[in-house]
Amino acid sequence: MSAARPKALYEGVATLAEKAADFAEARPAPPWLQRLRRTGVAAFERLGFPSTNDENWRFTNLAPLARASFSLPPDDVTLAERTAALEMEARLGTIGFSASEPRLAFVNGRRLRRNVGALPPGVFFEWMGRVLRESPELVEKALVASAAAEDPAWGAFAALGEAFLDEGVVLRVGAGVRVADPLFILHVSTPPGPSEAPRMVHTRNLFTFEEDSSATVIEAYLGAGGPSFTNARTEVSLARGARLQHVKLQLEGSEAFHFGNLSVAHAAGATSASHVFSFGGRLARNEVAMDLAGEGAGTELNGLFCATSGQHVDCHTLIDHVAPRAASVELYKGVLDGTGRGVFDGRIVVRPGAVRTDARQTNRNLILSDSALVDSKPQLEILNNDVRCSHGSTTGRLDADAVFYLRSRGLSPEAARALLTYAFGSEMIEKLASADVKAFLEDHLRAWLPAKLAAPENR
Amino acid sequence: MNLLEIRNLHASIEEDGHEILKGIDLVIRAGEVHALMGPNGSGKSTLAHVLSGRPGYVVTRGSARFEGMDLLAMPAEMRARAGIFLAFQYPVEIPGVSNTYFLRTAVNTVRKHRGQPELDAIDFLALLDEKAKLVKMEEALLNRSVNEGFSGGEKKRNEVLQMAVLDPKLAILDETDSGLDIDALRVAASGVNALRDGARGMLVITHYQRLLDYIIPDFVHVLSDGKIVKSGDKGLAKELEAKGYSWIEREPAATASAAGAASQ
Repeated sequence: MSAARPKALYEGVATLAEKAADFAEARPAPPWLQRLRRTGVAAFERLGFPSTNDENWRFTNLAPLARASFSLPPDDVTLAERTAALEMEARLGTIGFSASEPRLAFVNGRRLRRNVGALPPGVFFEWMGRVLRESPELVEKALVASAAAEDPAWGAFAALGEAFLDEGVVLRVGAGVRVADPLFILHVSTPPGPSEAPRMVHTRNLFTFEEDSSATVIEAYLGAGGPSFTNARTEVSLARGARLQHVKLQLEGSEAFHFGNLSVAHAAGATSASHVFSFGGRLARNEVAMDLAGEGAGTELNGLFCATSGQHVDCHTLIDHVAPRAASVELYKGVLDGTGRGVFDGRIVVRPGAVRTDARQTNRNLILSDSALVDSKPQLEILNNDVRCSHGSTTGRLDADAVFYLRSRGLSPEAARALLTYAFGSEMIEKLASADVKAFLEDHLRAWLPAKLAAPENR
Repeated sequence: MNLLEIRNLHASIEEDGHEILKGIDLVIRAGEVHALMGPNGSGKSTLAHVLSGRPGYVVTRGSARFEGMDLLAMPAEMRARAGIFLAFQYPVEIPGVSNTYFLRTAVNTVRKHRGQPELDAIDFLALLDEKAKLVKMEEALLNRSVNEGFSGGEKKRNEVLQMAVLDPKLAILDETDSGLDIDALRVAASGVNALRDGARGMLVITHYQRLLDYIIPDFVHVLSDGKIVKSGDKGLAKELEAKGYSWIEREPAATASAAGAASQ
């Protein structure tokens, strides 16, 4: 941490901390939660927003966020918010419109609606806010433990999340339960009204998977335009043999600030797959931290990030190989157009005891314009000799031979480039299991491309 | 009207200014199949590239007209839409784009340009199935990414399949025989022959006479050091096979008018 933090980063910290303190005072809560919130306020005041002198934030300047002013919206959801949110939800098309799909939907961080009628027995899928009020003992231990174990490197946004801890999702999947339908968590941010301040959302998800359970969770963040600040944290604990599929769709508007952190603790034989699709915002950061603490655990990290002019997308991943015989495979792809900026920072740590580790990491970036930029920083820290690790990072432009090949078949240069860009990105979509989510993302990627591309209706 | 009319064409490599084509004259009429032979480095592939509009070359003199249009003024995609097809010597692999999707996009782009309605998925698949039979292309290859992991023979068959589906007026086959064993060569050649319909023109570029046993040309031209030095009928190819290219390289260069006259 630095002494030379730019002044811009201090701006806003005090007011934000004040808002958090007021919030903690005003909201009734059991003493442990009050303590947690106050600790969060103090920690955020102490840490402030990290500067680019901080190695973890070297390529991402938070000054625009620190300068902006965001407020919590009033408790009651307005009709305008509800209408805007339902409209955005409709844009998801086929995703989750099957009646069977369990869903919790939020607008500007508050509850919008829920559909959990079809949950199989042994699954608890509930608003965090309701749990905190009605049965706080269900989450007390986990929340207190995670606050105590806070890593200062990831700290400021976690502290802020604790200071405003109030809402989110609690999920518990019972031993041996296999949930077939994806569990869907939707967040919609809507633009502030004429007399309103831009909104901020601090949301906290806590998932517990008991032995040999399995489920897919989709977290989608949509925006109906305007500035917004979302700070989302998801903490997962996987017991022995449990399996998690996690999909994050970060599709907010061009003025959005988004900071997301997913951390997953793996017991022996537990496996996870994380798929991050980040189409940015003004400033978006997606962190994924995989703790392979159990022997023979496995994780797969996939990511696609796209940014165009006025956007900055940062993807940070940490894979911690603690136990022996764990495996990790990671592939992140970036597409940068216009003056868009991207960051991939992927760190893999192999601890002394993590013998027979198998870790593979790849980052591939595609640059579509002269002004686009990506910083790629793969890091391998291997602390024992009995491992198989590889990493690679490439950044380049579209293959000129491929562009010509397509043009020689009649495609315009724009269409050729769009098709090749789509092909580059869609590899990540193909890794998903759900046909509906795939189709939705394919449409989204096609719409994002600088040139029109026909939908492959025959596939 | 001549389908393709090349007059005194000179072209250099853009990067270093090195002149490769040093005055090509060639006329192809509808329905004619011309073979262009020549040793390595004589400029065969460069001619194919220049005609198809590949970036990296500069035409310094001369002209090339396609159905009377100034071919050299057209970007590559407009040449393709006008009816020129280049079968690549080294087809490009395009991971992530299915062969079927690619072909349908190309066909509909060309159809749109010609003012024809676009084919829907069902009509397109019917067309594709019919043409795939010509080159014995398995369905599995149609659903895979374009050329990705294809064998040499599969890639060349895929080129012929694209040609069949796009139905060009002039097909330029750039060393379609290179890297093929005799069975693969036969399959590719029979596909090409099925597309000889008395109207389509073809320019078959090859180093070896072998391909011309299967695709019988109406005319044979020999390219040496950027010029057509000899033109004749299919007998010329046999003669080259027997005597080798050194025989041609020792002959005085043919005049431009003689080369042009061969196709009259």
